[in-house]
Amino acid sequence: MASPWIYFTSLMMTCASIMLHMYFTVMYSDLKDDFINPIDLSRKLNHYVIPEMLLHAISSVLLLLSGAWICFFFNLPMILWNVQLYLTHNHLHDSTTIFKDVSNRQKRSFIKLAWFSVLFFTYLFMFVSRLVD
Amino acid sequence: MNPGDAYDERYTYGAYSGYPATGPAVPRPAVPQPPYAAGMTQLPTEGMNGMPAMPADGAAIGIPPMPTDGAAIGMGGMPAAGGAAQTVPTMGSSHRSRRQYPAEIFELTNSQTVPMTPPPVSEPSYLMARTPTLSPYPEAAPNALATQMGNVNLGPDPNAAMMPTTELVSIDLYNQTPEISDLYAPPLPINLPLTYSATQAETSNCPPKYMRTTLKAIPNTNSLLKKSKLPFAIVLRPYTSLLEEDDPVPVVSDTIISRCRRCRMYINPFSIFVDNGHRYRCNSCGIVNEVPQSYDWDSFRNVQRDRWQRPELNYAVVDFLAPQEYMVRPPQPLIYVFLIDVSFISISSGMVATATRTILESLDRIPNKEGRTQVAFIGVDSSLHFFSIAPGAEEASQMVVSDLDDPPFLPRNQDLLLNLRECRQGIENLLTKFNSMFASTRDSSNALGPALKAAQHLIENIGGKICCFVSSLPNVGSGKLSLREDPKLLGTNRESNLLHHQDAFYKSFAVECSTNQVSVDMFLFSSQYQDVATLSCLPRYTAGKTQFYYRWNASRSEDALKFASELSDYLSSEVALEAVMRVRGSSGIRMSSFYGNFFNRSSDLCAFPSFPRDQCYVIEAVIEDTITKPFASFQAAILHTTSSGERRIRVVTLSLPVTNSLTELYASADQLAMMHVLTMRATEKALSSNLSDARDGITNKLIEILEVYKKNLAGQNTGAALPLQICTNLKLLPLLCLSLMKHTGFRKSSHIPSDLRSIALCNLSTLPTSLLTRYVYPTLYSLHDMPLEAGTVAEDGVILPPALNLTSAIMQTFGLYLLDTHFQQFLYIGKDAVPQLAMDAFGVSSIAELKAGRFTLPILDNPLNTRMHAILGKLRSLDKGTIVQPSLYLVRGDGDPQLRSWFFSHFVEDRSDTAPSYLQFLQLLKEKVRD
Repeated sequence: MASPWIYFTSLMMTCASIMLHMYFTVMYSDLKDDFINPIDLSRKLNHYVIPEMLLHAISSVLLLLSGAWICFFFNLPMILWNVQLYLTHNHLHDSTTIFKDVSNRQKRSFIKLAWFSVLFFTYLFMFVSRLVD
Repeated sequence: MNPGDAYDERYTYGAYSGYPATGPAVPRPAVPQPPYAAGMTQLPTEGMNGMPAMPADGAAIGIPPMPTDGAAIGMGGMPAAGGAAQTVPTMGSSHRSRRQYPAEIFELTNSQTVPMTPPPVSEPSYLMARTPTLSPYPEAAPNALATQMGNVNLGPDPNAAMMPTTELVSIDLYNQTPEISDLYAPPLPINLPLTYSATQAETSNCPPKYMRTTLKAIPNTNSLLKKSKLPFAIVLRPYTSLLEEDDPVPVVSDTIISRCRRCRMYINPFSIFVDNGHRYRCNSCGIVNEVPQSYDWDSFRNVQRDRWQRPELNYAVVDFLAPQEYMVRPPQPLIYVFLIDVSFISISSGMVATATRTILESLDRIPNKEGRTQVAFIGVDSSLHFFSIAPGAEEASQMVVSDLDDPPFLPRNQDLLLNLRECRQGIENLLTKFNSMFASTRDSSNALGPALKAAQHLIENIGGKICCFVSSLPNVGSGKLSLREDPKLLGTNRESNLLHHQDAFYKSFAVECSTNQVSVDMFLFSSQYQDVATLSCLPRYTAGKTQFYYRWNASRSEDALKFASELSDYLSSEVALEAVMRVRGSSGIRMSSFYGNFFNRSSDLCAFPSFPRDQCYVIEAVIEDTITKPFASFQAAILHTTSSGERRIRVVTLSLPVTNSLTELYASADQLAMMHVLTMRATEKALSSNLSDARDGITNKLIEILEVYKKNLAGQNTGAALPLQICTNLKLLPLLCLSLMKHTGFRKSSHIPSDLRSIALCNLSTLPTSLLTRYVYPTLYSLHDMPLEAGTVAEDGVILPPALNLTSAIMQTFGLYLLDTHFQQFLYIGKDAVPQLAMDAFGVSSIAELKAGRFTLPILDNPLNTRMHAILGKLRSLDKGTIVQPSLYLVRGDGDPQLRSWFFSHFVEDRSDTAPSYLQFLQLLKEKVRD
């Protein structure tokens, strides 16, 4: 039985991820509207790509270690997706091809946002229910 | 204005861009006629006498008799014509009556303003255009189909310039041999009445050699475009010749630039003047703008000038001289940094010696009108060798930097950038000695990465060009590459990885170069794996070019000559610096993706540190809002600094009619432009994903098009056999798609080294349409039985024999054939060739004495040899906008099997071990096309 504080940590990490992805999507739409140039965009966003993936991986591993199986399996597809992106060198933003890629990236960010929101409420629920218990 | 003139101009516009035979080109002495050609008897040119002599034939094949046609076209162009009634009558008639004809306008603008603008483009082309049948490809050929089909009138007939193109003639792909001559026919004319133009000049709309679209009519809604499944894109080639004087464009030299205040479109022939000419309506967004104050004032002579003479209202392609607002800094000088690999391999292959000698000989050809051009030389092996010459000094001093740190150390206080004029003697001495300085080297390292950084560092505040001559794999310092090619990988799925870049350095460095206005050109020479895929990243994003010389060795004189002549042409070519390009469309149209060598600085702004004159760009467009106007425009504007230090804007405007019918959309499709877009998409796929995706992309698009056609447009009486139908103007698309899939760049094969694939992809993504057509579907000529007039000089240059289908079925074992792929030319002599043929063509008594491989055609004194030389020369000079000199190979029907299989791999209509023949491909398509 996982302690409520594990859920709380994951909750916080998910919060951070959600914020990062909000930032990403805002930047993408800025790029589309020519408020930022591709070089700056790549430089700014590439700082956060790996931390975002790590954040997610750490929270999942925490859940796994503390025995929260169901929550971990919930996270597994995203971990695999991240690993696949990393292995195909598709995770970082490339300023030379970003304009052909930006719609995909935006979609990717939206999917992740949706997923993280679901996780956020799950963790919140688990955290509160564990506290009450 | 007589109707004939109108006809001529029209025809010129329909002329095939890469083809001086019919194109609106200034006649030039480019075809080097061997001196002995003079003694030849000039055969009466059949084409000229032929046309008027066979009226019956003309009628039978559906070409309307010329005078009638001419009149019809003339009417469209004439202000008072009936056609004018239906169009916008916004222009005051007083203005209209004052308008001048292009030739006069040209003279006027020339005399008063730009002394450097050469004589009008229009004049000589009149003469050429008047004899359309002089084209080497018989006009009758494309129409033969129509007669078979029982259709006498063809919509897409080039002569039917102002006829509505709505007639859609279907043909059955199965029962036809593809008509190759169509590949060289002029593209469809634009079906837009000239009455839309403010001056109604014949030159109001853009000639296809500068800009052509896949659809000659714009769909009015996005749903129509989606439904048609046709790609919608512009193929843009802003420059058609290496030197401005070969293909001059009118210049607006009074720096009055009028642009729409909302959409920023430049004023063009299709802008509509209202309010007594005080204001004009933008043809793109429809907003009314003020006409600039001194628009009608000639500031050079201080007199009132006639507005209708202004070049920007008469010509679709103009250069504006840009005022101060268009400069961020004073125009910079042209700088070349020559980065020469001096490792053991390059010295021993003779590359360094050839390159330095060619540069030395071409010093006078480098554009240097103002005397500001600078050069720098850096030698690279395991260390960097800099050369400095104090102004006026005769000898260069060499500095060796073996510290390859980041940022690179530059001997700053020295004169590394040499003014070409002031240090001339020193540069000449340096180049003469260059090779001998390194002749005894044993160094096999190549620190290309640090050298590039140093070169970039040297010119980062000014910008310029870095020319790299590399013949070994970079193996020291940043950007070092490994020998990753494994023959086992070729032909497998993992082969595609070899086409992607190996080291991120080359991409990030390219971006850095682009922001510093530095452009990188790569001349690569290989003895082994050279990793063209990675090294070509730099030219790709800095608007440079990649030239690859496979297995090059200076000891073969053909190799040395080819490189020397290409390098010399490259150096002599004018370059535009610090350029940006923006393509705008009428409201409702948005440019969605851009293909070509440049860096996308923002969503629709392409940055070119230097603008090459031999490349072509493809821009895909989407329809965002319903277009309600009768016509819509595309405008490309390239802001650049010329090599003589002028800031200019080249503006290319193309206006097209808008349609709401699917039939018209299909009837107006341009198969060559379509092929160009599919090529660009496939190249992009190959570089970002893999080759099979690239091939699938081509087939899937083709199937989609055929499906839509079958469902919505094919005739009713298709019969039980359900033939595969397509409209006549797209009938070569399946063949072109098949040849594209069988091209070196995309073919499924385990025998193509990845370097050759990469360079093929580079070429595919930069060649202009006319040359790309040749590259994708090489041209085959039969020389032993060519028509009598082929190879002789007619009014518009050497007549070429008719092109043949690329199928080995038509090859005769006793024949002599020529295959031209733009990069290579093959002379194929069959194994049963009679000794007389070998004697006449090559001066040997039997073909057994001929050595297959790289070849130089001997000069002999007999008609066949002379005509062959003339044809080869003509093929080499077809396009003035390329530096490529094709290499000539001799293939013997009984010779080297490897060379033969290479030669026959170009025969795309035949079956190969991995790809279907043309008929099988059609069968395949038929199975996939659903009802």
